[in-house]
Amino acid sequence: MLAAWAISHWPLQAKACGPDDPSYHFFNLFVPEWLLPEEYSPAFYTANPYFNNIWGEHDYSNDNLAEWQAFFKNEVNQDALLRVLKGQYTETYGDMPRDGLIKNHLFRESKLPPAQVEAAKRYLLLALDIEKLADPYRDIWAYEPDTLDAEQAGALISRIEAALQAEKFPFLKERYAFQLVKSLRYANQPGKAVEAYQAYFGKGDSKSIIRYWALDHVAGIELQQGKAGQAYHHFLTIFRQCRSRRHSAYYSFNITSEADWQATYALCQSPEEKALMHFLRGSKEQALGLHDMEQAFGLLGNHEWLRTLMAREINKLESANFDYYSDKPVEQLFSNLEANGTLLLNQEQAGYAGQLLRFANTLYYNHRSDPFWALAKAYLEFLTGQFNTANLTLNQSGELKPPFDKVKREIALAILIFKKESFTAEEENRIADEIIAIFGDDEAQFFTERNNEEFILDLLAYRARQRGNLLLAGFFARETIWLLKENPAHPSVDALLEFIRRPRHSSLELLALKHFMGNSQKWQAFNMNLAAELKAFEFQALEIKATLLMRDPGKLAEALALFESLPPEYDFAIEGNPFNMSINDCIHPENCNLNTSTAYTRNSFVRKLAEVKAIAEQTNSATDYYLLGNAYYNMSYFGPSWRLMNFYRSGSQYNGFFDCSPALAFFQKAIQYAPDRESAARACFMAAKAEQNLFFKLMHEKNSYADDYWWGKYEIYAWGSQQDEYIKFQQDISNSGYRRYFEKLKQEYRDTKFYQRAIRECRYFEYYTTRM
Amino acid sequence: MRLWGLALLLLALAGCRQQQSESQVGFYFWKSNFKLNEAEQRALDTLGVARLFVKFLDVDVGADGRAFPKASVRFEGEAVGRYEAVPCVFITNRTFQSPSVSPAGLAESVWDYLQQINKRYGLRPAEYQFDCDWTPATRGPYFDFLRHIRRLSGGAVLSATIRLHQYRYPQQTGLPPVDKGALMYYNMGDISDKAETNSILNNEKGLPYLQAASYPLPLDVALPLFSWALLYRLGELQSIINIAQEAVLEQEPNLEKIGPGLYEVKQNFYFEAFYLNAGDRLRFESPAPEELERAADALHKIQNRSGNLIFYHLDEQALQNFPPDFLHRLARRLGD
Repeated sequence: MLAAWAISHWPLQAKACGPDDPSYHFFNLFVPEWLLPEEYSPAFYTANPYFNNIWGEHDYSNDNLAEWQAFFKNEVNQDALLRVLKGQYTETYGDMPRDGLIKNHLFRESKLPPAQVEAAKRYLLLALDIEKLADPYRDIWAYEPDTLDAEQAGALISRIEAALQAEKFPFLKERYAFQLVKSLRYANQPGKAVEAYQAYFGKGDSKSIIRYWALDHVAGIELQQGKAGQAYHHFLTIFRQCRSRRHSAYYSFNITSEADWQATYALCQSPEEKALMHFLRGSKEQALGLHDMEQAFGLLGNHEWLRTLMAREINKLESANFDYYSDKPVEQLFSNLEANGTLLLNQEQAGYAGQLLRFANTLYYNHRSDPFWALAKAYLEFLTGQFNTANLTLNQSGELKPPFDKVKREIALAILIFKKESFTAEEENRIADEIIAIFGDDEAQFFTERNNEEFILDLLAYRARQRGNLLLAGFFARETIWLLKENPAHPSVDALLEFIRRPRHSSLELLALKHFMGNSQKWQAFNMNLAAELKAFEFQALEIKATLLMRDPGKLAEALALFESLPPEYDFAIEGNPFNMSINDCIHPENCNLNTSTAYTRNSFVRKLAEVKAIAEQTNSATDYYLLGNAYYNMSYFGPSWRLMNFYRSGSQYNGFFDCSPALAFFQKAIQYAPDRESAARACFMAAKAEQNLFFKLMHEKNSYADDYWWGKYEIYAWGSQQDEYIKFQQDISNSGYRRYFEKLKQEYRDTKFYQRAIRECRYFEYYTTRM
Repeated sequence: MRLWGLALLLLALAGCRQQQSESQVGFYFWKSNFKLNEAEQRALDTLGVARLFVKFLDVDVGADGRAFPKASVRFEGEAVGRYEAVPCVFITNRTFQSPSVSPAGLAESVWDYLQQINKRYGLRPAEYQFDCDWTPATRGPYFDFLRHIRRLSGGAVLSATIRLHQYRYPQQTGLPPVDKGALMYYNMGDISDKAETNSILNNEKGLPYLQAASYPLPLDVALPLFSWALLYRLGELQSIINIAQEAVLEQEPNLEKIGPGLYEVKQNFYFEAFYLNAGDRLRFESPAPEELERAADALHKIQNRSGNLIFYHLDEQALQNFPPDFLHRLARRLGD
């Protein structure tokens, strides 16, 4: 018993079965979890490459625990029992040795009779020893398991036999018998194992799960002995009668010849048994289930097994055609529709879907009260491009209870979008309401437990693209405002503003916009406060617009006007003074030495920047041009004030505003109007920094590997260890013509104090002057 | 009929003396249960085969991303002791895609596993071969793995399988850090393509890859002897069924021949342990003798051949598909 537990996993019941991988590999509209009960959920189809074996999890292992708890009258420590039976790590006992647990913890404070406690301890401790023989610990990289030799196995079996004879508790006696069968099998004594089974389980009519666990071993022996029919029939029985051995029985029921199939069929006592054979074969991986569905229907009529098989077959077609990871899954579907009139990729699939539809029709007309078949019929009609017929089927199905109604409505929604290139305002309102209701996405997160909502949204995105409405297409494709903030562009921001400012929106447009803007209000609350919500969206868009305008020094006044039109909460304090320079770049204000007595907010700084620019232009003031250069350098990707012109800064790739052209232009003016050589040298050095960043921008635009020309690639302390690469890096900058200002500094300002400081503090410049 | 064919082959082989100019013939043994039947053993002896390239294990990754061994070899009988066994390890490409797999750790695990097998059966291999269809993304970790194996191997010869595109474009695909390669002149078509004619050996596709006259490593050459039927269901490849002769398909009443090597399933039935469905299609593929000869002539021109010819793979029924003395003739064509 204990040993058998050790090879199973602790149950998560049905939750652990079936397609538990959250990253679906295909868009799944015909959701088996919505349409079918849980019992056979391990047979639901999944295309996950690692979980594509159904019954991949050991199921219902709680059943054994329940039997033990009943035997112990719930008088033992539950957590300890879990660890003892399963061998798994538990919260209370961690990986404490199980023999110690049995002796010292399991029965602590229990009110069980001492004789029962002692008997249970004897059994559990012996079961631990049996693990060495029957379930030896297996290091996956050990060629051979660490198990008992024949002599040790013989001694162990003698102990089990003796304990079995002496045991008084029937519950434990059965378990000893099971251990005996199992141990004899693993000790290569199959004949004795079968005899032991017959002696202890063969005559009685025990329905305890342990009898079926023992039968599982006997069936395995029969298979090895060539008694295939008998063996498979036993596996069939175990599958039916013993949920906690379904996993094992399912995989053991692996018939590979007509003779074995017939031999097993002949042993079946009832149509149900025969139908189960068809269910098992039809649900096997790589099988097409239709033929077995037809046979099972002939034997049993409508049944959960049939519905499970049909769901599998439909999901297979989804898997082959609704690829979740394809670049253009929806485009492919429309292209299939145009090419062959169905949503399916090829004639073979269309043909098979047609056969499934005929079968679904039969079930539908014979079982009109079963909503499953109405939905299966409608969905297969949908897949085969018969949209009107599918709609008719859905309409005729009447009002369905949840969750069937969700499948019905999502199919209807998909058909509507497939049929129409554009929608009326009323249709758009209805689509929005349906999306929220069907998928329970009240906050328009556009990401739910399942991916069928994403499918509908992708269809809508396709239609919007078709109509040339790329903004709305982006909304449906789950783009968010953060994408725009990361790399804003005037046309996109203007289009967004125009969209927000429209006098009327359909519900669908609002839903899409709400998601794009990251609004997490409930849909109803959002609509009740619509005017204010739209105004807030407009402010967000205007902030992006103003930030974008700032990147052009000629549009500072426009930017300032927009910033000042925003509510006060949009303004924020700036750390440090963006007018200050530093020899070495420092990005994160908290790490930079930005001590300053000046305190700006964004608005006050932009105002100041506009003033300085006006003065510089009126007076040709080198100082003011230099300050402007510093500000534009510091507000770029390469400076600590990047938040003034960017919403986000990537630490691994250039993004946002990384163009140092404005800064360089200001530094050039600062050099031109410099009142003295020290000022000119300082401006020249900063011009060199801006120029180097323009080289990185050029390389980025040429799609060079980011790593090759990454601004932060060579830390001062590191370049010596990568000297060859470093030399090439420096030469590439120079050869591309982006060292003009280092050269100018070297040639024209060698005698300045600033030159000496630059040599001391800037290794790039030091390298340039000494080695290039 | 089959026994008669094999007898003829063996008689013919027995009549031949190995020529100095012949390539040394070896065989891959790719099944997990190493057992030679009498006919296979006689064929090996007659061909003068000294070396068998035996797949010791596959390495793959599980759902947890960790590498694990599977399909490990089990030796039955004493036959292996009569040959020089070259342990082969097939490693799936996705193993090296897993971020949880460290090349150094995997090398240690694989090497230790190989030594456990060697110890269990008293083997002392002088060469080890690694088989991985590496890609640009996995080249780094795979080659790292081989370098670590080199450190552990204590002077044993290391070889690696080389696919045709890797032979043709060593600059782009990289050169594995081993002592020699085994050029796999087979599996050159797209088996998933239902319009493919012969994915095992198709000289129209394969020969252009041999334009390069040499490769930076000494090369053994591997040629196919195997056959299979590819099973297509709903227009997509479903399974590979190992069958040696097309006659098996021709004689099956549940199959209808619809073209050269092409069959359609008329009704559901069990076939070679597979449950086939009505509408399934089967395509039989095998290397034609004349195509093998063409291939041998082209491979002969490779300058840095090691002189070894390896057939994939040892199977009594596959041997019967070829005329008597045919394998000798191939070896002679490849010899100098």
